[in-house]
This record gives sequence, C-alpha cells and structure tokens, in this order.
Amino acid sequence: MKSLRRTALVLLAAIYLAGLSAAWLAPAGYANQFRESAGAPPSRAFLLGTDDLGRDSFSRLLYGSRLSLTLAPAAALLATLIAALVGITAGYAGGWIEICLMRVTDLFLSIPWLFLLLIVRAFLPLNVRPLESVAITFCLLGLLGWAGPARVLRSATHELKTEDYMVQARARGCRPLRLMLKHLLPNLEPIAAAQFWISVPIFILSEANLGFLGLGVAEPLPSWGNLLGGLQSMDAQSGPWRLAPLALLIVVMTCFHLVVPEENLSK
Amino acid sequence: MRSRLTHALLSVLATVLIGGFAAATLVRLAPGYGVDPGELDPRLSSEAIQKMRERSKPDGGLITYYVRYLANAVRGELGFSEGFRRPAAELIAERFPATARAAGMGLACGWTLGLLAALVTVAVARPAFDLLAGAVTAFLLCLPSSVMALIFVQGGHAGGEMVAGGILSLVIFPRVLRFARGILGNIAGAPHVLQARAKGLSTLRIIWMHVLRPAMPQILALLGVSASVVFGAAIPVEVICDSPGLGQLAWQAALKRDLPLLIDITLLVTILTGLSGLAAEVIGVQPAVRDTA
Amino acid sequence: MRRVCILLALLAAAGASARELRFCLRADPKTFNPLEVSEEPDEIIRYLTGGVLIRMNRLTQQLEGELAESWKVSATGRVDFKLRPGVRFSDGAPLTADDVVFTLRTLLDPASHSPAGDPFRVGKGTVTVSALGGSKVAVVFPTPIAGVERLFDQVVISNARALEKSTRPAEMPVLGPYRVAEYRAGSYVLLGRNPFYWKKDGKGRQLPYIDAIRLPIQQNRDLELLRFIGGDLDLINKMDADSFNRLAAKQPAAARNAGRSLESEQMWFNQVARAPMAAYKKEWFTSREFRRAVSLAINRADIARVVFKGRAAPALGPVSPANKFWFNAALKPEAYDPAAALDALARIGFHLDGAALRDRRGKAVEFSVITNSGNKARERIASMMQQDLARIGIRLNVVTLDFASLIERMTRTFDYESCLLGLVNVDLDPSAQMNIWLSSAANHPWNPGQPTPETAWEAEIDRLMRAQAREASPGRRKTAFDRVQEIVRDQAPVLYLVDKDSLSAISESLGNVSPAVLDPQTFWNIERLYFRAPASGSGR
Repeated sequence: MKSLRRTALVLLAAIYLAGLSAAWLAPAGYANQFRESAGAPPSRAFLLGTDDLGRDSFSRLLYGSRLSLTLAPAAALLATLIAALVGITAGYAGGWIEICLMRVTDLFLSIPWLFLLLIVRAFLPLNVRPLESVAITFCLLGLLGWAGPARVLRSATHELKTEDYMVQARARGCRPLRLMLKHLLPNLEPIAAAQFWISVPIFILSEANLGFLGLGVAEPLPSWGNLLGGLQSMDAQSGPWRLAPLALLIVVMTCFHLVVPEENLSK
Repeated sequence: MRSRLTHALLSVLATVLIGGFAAATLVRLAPGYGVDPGELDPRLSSEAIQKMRERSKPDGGLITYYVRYLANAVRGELGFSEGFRRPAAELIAERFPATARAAGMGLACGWTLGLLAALVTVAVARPAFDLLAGAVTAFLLCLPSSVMALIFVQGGHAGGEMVAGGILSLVIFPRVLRFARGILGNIAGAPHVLQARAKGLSTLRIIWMHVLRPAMPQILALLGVSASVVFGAAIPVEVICDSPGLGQLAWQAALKRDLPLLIDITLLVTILTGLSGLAAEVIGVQPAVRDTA
Repeated sequence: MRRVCILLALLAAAGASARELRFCLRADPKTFNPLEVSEEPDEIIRYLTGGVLIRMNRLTQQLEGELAESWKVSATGRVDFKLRPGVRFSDGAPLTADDVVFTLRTLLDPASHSPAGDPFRVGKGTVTVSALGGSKVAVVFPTPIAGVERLFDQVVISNARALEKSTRPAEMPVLGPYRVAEYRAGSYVLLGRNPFYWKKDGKGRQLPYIDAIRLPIQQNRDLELLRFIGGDLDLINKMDADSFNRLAAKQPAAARNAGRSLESEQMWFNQVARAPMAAYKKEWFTSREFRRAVSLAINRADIARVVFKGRAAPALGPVSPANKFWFNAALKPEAYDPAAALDALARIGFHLDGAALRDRRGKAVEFSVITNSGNKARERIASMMQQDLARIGIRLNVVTLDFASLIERMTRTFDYESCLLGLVNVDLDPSAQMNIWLSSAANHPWNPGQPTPETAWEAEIDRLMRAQAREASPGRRKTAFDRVQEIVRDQAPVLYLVDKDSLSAISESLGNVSPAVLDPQTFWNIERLYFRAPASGSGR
C-alpha cells in the first residue's frame, strides 16, 4: 500500500508539474489552429491528435490541466471551508442555531443558483479576460457549493460530540472554542478531506455544464470541463485518444484517493 | 418531541417560503427575463414586437407578484407557464412521475448496492478488497453524471427513464459506498465488536446488531443529501437522455426564464430537501427533535 | 392467378401504408391554433394538418392551387379566389366561403399580430374580406402587395368550431391530409389520416398514402440520429454537418444533401448610437472601411471546410444561391486577403504596433463578439474568426450567452459590440424580409428602430425595398433587390460568412421523397410519400 501511495503521489506531482510547465512542454500554443489537420489522429507532430479546429489536443490538455487543477481544487477548498464552518457550528451548537443553519443549507441546496451566475455574468464587462471570467465563476461555485458537505459534517459533529473524550473534556471545563479546535476539528478533518476530494471533479464538470449557459471558460482557453464537453461530438469513428481528458481526470482522482490515507477517509 | 417536531416543520415551511422568494428574485433580476425569442421572427411588424414586449413586461413589483402567487398556490393554482403556454401545475404533474421513477430507482439501487458493498467490504476485511472498493468508488465519483449519460447515449442506448434511473444509481452508489464504508469500518474496529467476535457471535449477527445499527444515524444523514444530489444530477442526465422529467423541465424553464415554473420547481425541491433532512433527523433520533425530558 | 397477384399487391400496398411514418419534433408544440403558430414544432403540425388556399411547391418554387381552384390578382390590390368544390373538413362539414372569410378576418384583426397575418398589413388602411356567392372570396388590400399570393401558403383555413377546440387538438376539424389523433405531452403527437381529404392521386386513389404519422418529441439530436440508424425513425430534417457525416459513414444511401440551403451564418457590428459602448469603438464600427477590412481578414473557405466539413460554402451576400430567382448572380465571392485588410486599415489611420493593431489614437483594436451558447458550430466559427483577426492584430473576445440574454442585449439594451448569429429565410420573396432591411424596423440587425435613416445608404435601401414591395413586374423588383444586395455587400453592415447545405436523413424504405431546400424540406409532399414494400423478414 505504501509503495502504491508513493507512486500515486509521484504521478500527481508529475501531472501538476506538467500542467504548470505547459508553456515549455506544450509543442504548440493552445489556440494555434492547424486547419489542414483538423480532427487528425495521433502522430509525431500531434501526440494526441488534433481537435475539430486543428488545435493540438496534447497542448490543450496540458494548459487545461493547469487551469482546472488550480481552480477546481481552490473552489472545492472554499466550499469545504464554508461547509466546515457551517456544519461544525450547527452540529456543535445545536438548538435554534442548528435549525437556522440547516434551513439555510436546505435553501442553498434548492435555489436555482444558475441565475445568480447569469446575473454576475451580465454585470461582467464583455471584454473581461477569459482567465478572470473563469476565476470568478469558480469562486462563485465555491461560494455556492458548500451545502451538501455541510450536512455531512454536521452529522459527523453530532456523533463526535457525544464521544467519551469530548464529554470528559467538557467535564474538565474545556471551553467550547478549544473543544472545537483541539478535539473536534482534528477528528473531522478526514471527513472534510473526503468531501473536498469528492467536490473537485464536481466543480470541474460544473464548469463544463455552465458552458451551456455561456458561463464556462471562454474560447480559446482550454479547461478539463470544456475538453470533456468535447466528448459530446464523439462517435464510434472517433479514436480512443479523444478520451484522454476523461482518462486524465480518472487518473488524477484515483491518485488523490490513494494519496490520502484510507484510514483517515474512513473515520 | 411533538413540540420540537412542530418547530422543525415550521422552520421547513419558512425555508420553503424564503426559497421561493429567493428563486423569484433571482429569475426576475436575471438577464433575458421577459424576452421572447419569437421577437426575432422577421415576419413580425414593429407594432407586433412592441405588443409582445408589453405583454411580457413584469406585472407589478416582485413582492406583489410573490404574494399573489402564494395566494393562488394555496388555492392550487401554480401559475401559467408562458414558455410552454400551459398551466404550470399540469406540466409538473405530467413530468413528476418520470423523475420520481428515475430518482426512486436511482436512490433505491444506489443505496442498496452501496450499503451491500460497504457491508461486504467490512465483513471480508481484506486489503485487496478494500483497495478494489476504493478504486471503484474513486472511478465512479470522478465520472460526472453528464459524462456517464453521454457514454450510455454514445454506446447506442436510446435514453429514456430506465437509462436515467440507471445513471442516477451510479451517481448515488459511490457516495453511499464511500461514506458507509468509512462509518462501518470505524465501528467494526470498536472494542465492543471485537468482544462480540471473541464471544463467537456469527458474522451476520455482528454486522447487523453491532455494526450496522449503531451506524444508521450517520448513514441516514446522507439520505437527505442524496435526495438533493439525485435531483441535481437528474437535470443533466434527463437533458442528455431526453427523459421527459422534472429535471428536463427545470432546464427548459431556466432557458426560457419561466418564472412561475421555476418558483414551483424550487418550492418542490426545497420541500423535498427539507422534509428528507427532517426525516433523517427523526429516524436517527437526533437531539434536534428528540424529547430529552 | 392474376387475381391472387393483384390481391397480394394490394395487400402489400395496404401493409406498407399501414406503417406509421416517424420523425421527431424538437420540442412540445405550444399551440394547435393554426393562426397563432410561431415556432417550428407548431409549424410542422400546421403544415401536416392544415389546408391552404395556395401552396408553394417546395421543389419547383412555383405556386399551386390547393383549396383555391383558381385565383386572380389585380393591379389595384385585390385578390379573387374561386374555391375548390366538394372539399370537406375532417368532421365531414363542407368548406364554405364563410370559413375562408372567418379565417382571414380573424388573422387580419389588428389585435391578433400573428406571424402569418402581419405580412398582409403592410400598407395603411384596412384589408377587407368578403364572400361573393357560394364559392368565391375577395380580399381587397388598401395598397397592392407584390407577390401577395405566396403569403397565403402560411394561412391555414379554419372555422370557429375548429378554433374553439384548439386546446383539444384531437377534436379539431381540419382540411389537411392528417388530423391530430392523440397528443401526449413530453412524449409524442400522433396524426391520423383525414378521412375527408380532398386530394386524389392520378389513379383516383385518395391521399395520403401513409395512414399515420407519429412525431416523438426528442430534443437531443444525438439520440435522434441513433434512433434513425436503429430504424426507429424514417426522416430527420435539418441535420448538422457532424451528424450528417456520421450517418453518411454508416448508411450512405440515407444521407441526402439537397444542395445549398437558405440558411446562413453572419456577423454584424453594433452601430446603435445610444449603445453603452466607448465612442472610439463606435467610430470603428460605423466605418465602412473598418468593416470591409475585417471582412477581408476572415477566411470563409476555412470555416466552410473545417466547421461544416465541406457541407457549406462561403456566402456571397444576404441571399443564398438556392434562392434561384432573387439571388444576385453578379456578386463576386468575398476575398480572403489579410494583407489587403491591413492596407485598408492603414488608409484610415490604423497601424500595427508589434502584434497589436492600434487606431489613430493609439487604442488597441479589441472587441467582443457575442453568440448563443450550446451551438457548437457557432462557437467554432467564433474561434476561427478569433484566429483570423489575430493575424492582423485584432483581439477578438468570444462571449457565449444563453439565448435570452443574447436577445436582450441585441434588442433591448444594445450592450454588445458585435454579434454572430444565423439567419433562416423561410420565404424566398424579399418582401418577407422588410422587417430586416427597413432602417425603422425592430429587427434591423445593426441599428434597429431608426426614426429616420442615419446613413445615406440605409435611406437608399429603404427606398429600394419599398419600391420593390409596390412593384408588380418581377423583373423590376429583381433589379431593385439586386441593388440592395450590392449596397449591402459594399457597405458590409453584416458580414455574410457561409451558406449551409440542406442536409437530411431519409429512410430507404420511404418512396417519393425529394428533399427541397425550403421548409419542411423532406416531407413537403407528405400526402404522396409511401413505404416501399419491405423485403421479407425486415421492417417494423
């Protein structure tokens, strides 16, 4: 298991490094169109072939990795932090505080937030840089995507609250803040980490789904979301190399899963 | 307990009302509200287009609209959908069964398979098995629902309710498996379980009496979330699989800025989310609704 | 033996016609009232169930009498119809002149504003409709309308009884080849033959040949194609190039390209004076030389080849060559010449500063183009334009918006810089596009609703369009409209990019199908389509 974990860690680091070094590693710019070779299969010139506009798929995958592997985890981190704040407070405080916070959570799970994103897009200038626009979108996703993890963390807090060591600490006069920071949070960390890892691919694909409403990454910037969206134009004649973004997503998420110790995820 | 339950129900009702109002506000403020794509028809004269714009102008303020909507809703009138030109209640009644069936199938299959798989993993307790379960979970978790739907469609399945239900079960299964495996695994290592094993109790009895039952409150907490997850996943899945359910209706209503329909669907989802969360609390006998007297 | 063969042939034909014809609607119909139809699913059902006085033959593009046995158009703006005798509604009630009068008066009611009725109300004054005896109807327009007969192709004759039942479509009496038998919302519309349909074939057999049409409601085009390939559907209209090529690879005989269609992709610059845009950008967009230079820098041939996989051609102007009579054949193809574009820009004070083009004030030339999200072809066109314009130092930002937001910016707030959209001409006659070409019109793309024309060339277009709308002689009308096309090419308020091909999928078991470029393309002669007798062991 340890060697597997090490391998996963190395692989993850390599993928991150490759994404960050896209400007040096990519054989072509992500926007360059080699129109005579549109939809070409893999070759020496194009390692993963080209897309429908003749853009090098390998280069776009590298640049897309840089964007998605930075912004999606950032959004997931934001969402998890808010979820932890809300969920742990609700679970620990109980009473009307818990009821209010959980009803706010229910609201966040039910309201069509797509319209908030549309409103924000409407206020953004048309000539905002693609990177700024997508960063704002991911930030909003993070601010809106905390509700599901909050419920899980609240429930976990409830259970931990009644553990022997917590009862003992309270009996000894431990203050609530110290209780939360010293005893509750470290034990909730694995659950929060699990929610974080689950959220990352959700945010990656939310960005692709938002593309249908014009809220995704603007052309020509690649992201895993819009690369995955390209699967829609696949058919039996398309080569398996077009599944590369999906394969990379699966590899990265599996590595994340292997890197975090299983016993922590299981707590 | 009764008074706490009443308070909880009232808080769900308050959430529903606030949720509906929030949805109405967002839709009214969203760009493109009141715009009819039919305006681009070149056959229409300028006067006709002007009349269309006047017809779709918001009638009164937002609060007035919402109060009027609630008053009608109490009488069973859920508004008229301009986008579909039919009563909203009729549309929802038509589409709800398809989503209920797909979501029900998704939740039932996903939960059954997830719990069973978690129980088997805990009962077998082999590292290789655990790794396999972890790999399957990671694979399915990182495979987004719309991609699963695309794979089914590209693989030649003609979509529809059954396919949508199958995909939704694949959405729920890894979440239940991962979470339940974690909870059950923790409890399986507890001293009382070791004692039960030492006493020679059967595996089945240990799993049922000493592992699963204590874990149920936490596991059931996921039930409320999974109902919301299923509906959230239903939207892209129903759109791709062309299943005529609420998810597809919600998507079309969002594109058409159909205010009454969106308020109705938001209220429905808020009610479902609130009640499922409340039910999870009651089943798990959480302090929020337990009579501690 | 001969009788057995005849019996077998009849049984085979009966068996063939007993099959349902299946093709998809892309959305639920919003209304079954033929006078209120404005969207595609409603128009399909109207076409299949409605009877009209005059029908345009989609293949020959000539007018043919349907419910009107004959008609006469006078120079004063009067149209006289003589109704075909013996025509009955699907409930057996006879068609009378009163029904025609009722329909036209309802349609032409100023309060109705239906897309089918508005084109009739072009002049000041009211249109009068009256019955003259049992089978004659006179329609008097206050001013003559050029090509008025073709407008009756969209007017489905109905009666008060039918309109009352429009919310219960299965009970609506109709005059077309089919009637609505069943409608399951979100699922399908089932049409059954009209037992009293008036048309017969050359051998005296009553039409239509096919007994029933099932219209499943299917939004997803990929699923629609899968169903066709699986034999569950018989027709697909208006296929995109990707789906067409996929079908052509699997079932070459089913993939039919009817040639250039009337659909095109185009881009225009926002020239609205009150648009919330920087003044220097307004100066760029109102400059003919700037627009012409941008046009020169766009590689239309590449767009046709790469985005549409060769199933399109560079557009020559506002009218597609598929519109045989009205297309200005003298127009030359738009050149692709980035060097010439830079020269043209240099003449008006632009210069390259490294990789960036700057105007005479030193402002970097950067602007956005909005288009509707979810349309892959359009997003690809925008990406290609982005690349092309980058070669001459222009930075183009592509902004995809959902359709409602897009229309709001285009028509209400004018908060956009340039727009990329498609145009579908459903009517060949340029008078159908008055609401696009007139500078005062609400749908005038680049600067709608002008109280008076803001430029001399738009004033000239207004004059020419009004003149051709009053002119009776087709030759003189064409001369005027040819000149409109020349002005539009010269001034380039709209950059016409590509004309798309008319692509459809047609089952090999279907006979008598001749896809046309005009809607409804594959089933314009629905009453004469038939199923070929299946080979043994095959078919539904």
